[in-house]
Amino acid sequence: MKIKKLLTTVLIVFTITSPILYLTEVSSFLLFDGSCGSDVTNTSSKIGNLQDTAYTYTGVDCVVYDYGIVPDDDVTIVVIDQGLSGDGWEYLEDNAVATIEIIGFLTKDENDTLKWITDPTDSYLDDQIYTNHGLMVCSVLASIARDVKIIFIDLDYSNDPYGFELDDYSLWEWIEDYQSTYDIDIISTSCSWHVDFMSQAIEQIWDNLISNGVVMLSSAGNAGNYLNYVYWDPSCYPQYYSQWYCVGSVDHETRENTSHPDIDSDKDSVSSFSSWYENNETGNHIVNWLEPGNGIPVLTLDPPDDFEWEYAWGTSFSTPYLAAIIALIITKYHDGIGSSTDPSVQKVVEILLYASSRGTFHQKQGYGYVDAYLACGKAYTEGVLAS
Amino acid sequence: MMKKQFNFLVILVLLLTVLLIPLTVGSEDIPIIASRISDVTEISIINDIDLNKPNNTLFRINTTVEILNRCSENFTVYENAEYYPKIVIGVSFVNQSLDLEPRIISFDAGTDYTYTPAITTEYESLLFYINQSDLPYLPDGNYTVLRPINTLYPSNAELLPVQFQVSFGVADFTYANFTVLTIPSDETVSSVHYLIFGLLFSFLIVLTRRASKFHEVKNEN
Repeated sequence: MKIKKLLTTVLIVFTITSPILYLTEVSSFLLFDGSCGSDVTNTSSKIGNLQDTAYTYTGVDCVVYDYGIVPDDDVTIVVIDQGLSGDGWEYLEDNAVATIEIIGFLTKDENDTLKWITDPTDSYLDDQIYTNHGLMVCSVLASIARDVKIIFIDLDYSNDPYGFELDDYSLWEWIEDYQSTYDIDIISTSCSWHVDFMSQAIEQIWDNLISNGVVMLSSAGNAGNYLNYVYWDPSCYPQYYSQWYCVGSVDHETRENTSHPDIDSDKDSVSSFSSWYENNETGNHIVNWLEPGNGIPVLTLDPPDDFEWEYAWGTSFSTPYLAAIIALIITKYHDGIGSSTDPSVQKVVEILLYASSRGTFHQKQGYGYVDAYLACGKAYTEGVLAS
Repeated sequence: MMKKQFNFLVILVLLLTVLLIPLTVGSEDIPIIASRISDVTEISIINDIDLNKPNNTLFRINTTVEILNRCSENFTVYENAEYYPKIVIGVSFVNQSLDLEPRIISFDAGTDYTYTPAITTEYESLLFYINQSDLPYLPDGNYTVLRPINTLYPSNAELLPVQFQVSFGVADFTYANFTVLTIPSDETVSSVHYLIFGLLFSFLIVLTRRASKFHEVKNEN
């Protein structure tokens, strides 16, 4: 009789637990709000009014939505990325949620001639094959630095018919030549390269740009390891150069049971995929800062021709996030000083450090994330003091 | 005596359950997704004024890549970035002062790719520098080229490289083949799993009822 009772108990437990186990299994495929890959609901509130936790975490909602601060006309960001379609360009300039102003698209044609395009309907743009990453990166800028001026520089990627190589001197020469004309203040790129491409000539241009107040930002990379190794080789350029500031990803909320179990997020931690670097010999602190990059709203193109906001992940998005905050910082500095005189790179870094979540450097976290509200207040004060 | 036999049978059934379940899920150990370099179509030296670096020779290797989805349904893999190209190269040079530097760029956004069942063929071309100028051909050494896949999740992809040994400019290639082309779908594995559970528990119920009846008859006697 004891055995019968035991077996009955086992059967009952099995009967009860089976559906629970099944449901648990199924739930792992459900996308929770904020999960990577899921659509952003109520975009007008979450992105338009910056109420998504990806924004409230750093206080950009307070700066942009509550106080209505937008970059002024004397701030321009250069985005170096794989491409941008004409449709994406038009949508970024004209949608109901968050917009930017793209003043030009620079590429290098098949004959190695520079091509400057200012019209999104230019049919030359149609030949690009890879454009979605550029769209996503620009949309992060649009969500935070409203209507900021953008120059898009097109990289040659895969079997795209045209574009620059990252080590092309003419790319950097063009930026230097037109830095003053277009008020270029920030360069943001979300790619990692295996090749140590810095030549003395390119290094000289970078130094000149820094002297002119241009802040250069690059993504930390997503290999989630030291030096961003991809099999046998580190993929750490331009991050490793001391002229560049490197941006990793911080988890702005805790999420579990997403469709990507390896990138579950743990609030306030550096994201599991965010790579890091350290060079004690040169005292070069990289990663420098973290910004939200695990479950951040981006604009994507879902064929056929349907733009939508969804949550994405990657240090690709942490980088324009910080670029957008720096655009706001420079604007507030302009307000404080009462002119379009830009702060030096050193001054911008000083402001960022003042508003960083960490007071000390950490190998994986740098100085943490930047409180946008604190940073903008500090920038205004610094501007007033400099006036 | 009967009670002892019954207890023995219960233990036997439980043991069988414990032993058989791992066998039914064992097929999951074979990665669903796999990649292999099926052909190296060309290795050449490139002279491009935009790409050349001082004191280096630039090479290009063209490959044919196969991605195998062993499942009967589409399978999505998660990569931690968009890579170009999607192959990597490793080398052990005879001359250890040499170094190889591939031209690989990644855009740092998490990216999903979906593969249809069976084999998908891709063509990948990789440029790489070797830090010696005017090399007439690939330096002596053992080279490995593979196509990483599923760099994020699940990470148990099978990567079959091509390995080649170069000696005085002559390369000897060794290609790996996929050993298992298909595996049962999750549904099939689950069905077998549940079937075994069902059979074993049915068997236990029958045994229980028989034992009860035997005890009842025994008590009546």
